[in-house]
Amino acid sequence: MKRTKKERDIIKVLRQMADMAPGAGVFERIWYKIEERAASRANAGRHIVWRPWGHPVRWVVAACLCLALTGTLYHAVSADDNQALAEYLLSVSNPTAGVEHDLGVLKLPVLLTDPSTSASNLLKDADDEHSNVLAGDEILL
Amino acid sequence: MTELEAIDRCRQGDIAGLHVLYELHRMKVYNLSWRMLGSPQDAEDALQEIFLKVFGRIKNYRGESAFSTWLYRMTTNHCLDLLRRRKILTFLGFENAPEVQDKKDSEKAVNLGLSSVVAQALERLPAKQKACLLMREMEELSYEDIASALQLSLGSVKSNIHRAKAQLKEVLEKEGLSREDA
Repeated sequence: MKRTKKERDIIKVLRQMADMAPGAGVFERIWYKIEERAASRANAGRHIVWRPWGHPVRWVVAACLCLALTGTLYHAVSADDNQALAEYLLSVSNPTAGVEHDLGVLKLPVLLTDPSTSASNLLKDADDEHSNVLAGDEILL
Repeated sequence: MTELEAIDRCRQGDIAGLHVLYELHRMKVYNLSWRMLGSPQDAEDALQEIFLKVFGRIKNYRGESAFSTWLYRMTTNHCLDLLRRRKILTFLGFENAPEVQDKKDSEKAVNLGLSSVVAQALERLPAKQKACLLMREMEELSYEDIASALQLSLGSVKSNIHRAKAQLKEVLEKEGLSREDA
């Protein structure tokens, strides 16, 4: 692409601008400041322990993650508590519920709540009263 | 000490390495900052900040491009950040708006020569156009490097440079007419 004279002039001026020096001692003064600040930063760096995030968006993301984790933990703990409370209430309201599962123990609740088939029929016959009472005792024991 | 050795020493936290890099590149960084920000005082502050940034971030330089490219990229981004911040502060009223040069000033500039006319015209360019033009013509970076530095597409870089040149030419033509008039 052919450049016009004006364009060439502009480019020439811009290239000259790149090499324009400032007043005497300017760069030295700036370097002195850089050196001073770099040294103070290097010393300050030794005391800084933790600088995790460099951007506000990351702070928000980290806060959301933290909230989600806390929520999950809280939910798990409260679910465990609810389950423990339900088991406790069940055991308080029906204390014999677990007895029938124990094979080594007599099924006492069955005998207590449904006596019609055993003891009452036996008591009908007056002649056999003694033996019936004994039988009933045996059964009850 | 060569540039590579200086980079290595700088990575190890040796300030002597940074000094070598500063000696090699201070002029270009200073002039680029000056043209981007519009004043030598701002350029001095920018030069200081940029080399402190270099000292802190040299570990991120992987050597995939030339060190100068990486440095000019950092310089341009620093200046663009400053201009953006300045724009917000001006909008909020915390900082005075930059003085717009009146006609008398531009007429004065005619007498100062082509370079000052170009310098004044540069100040009126939008920040991105200015950055693209300066990176291309002052620092002689490739279009690809400019695109990656400014996170623009290749086409966008080319059009920004074209527009900036067109605007500068327009200003020069106007100034040329006023010279003839004078």
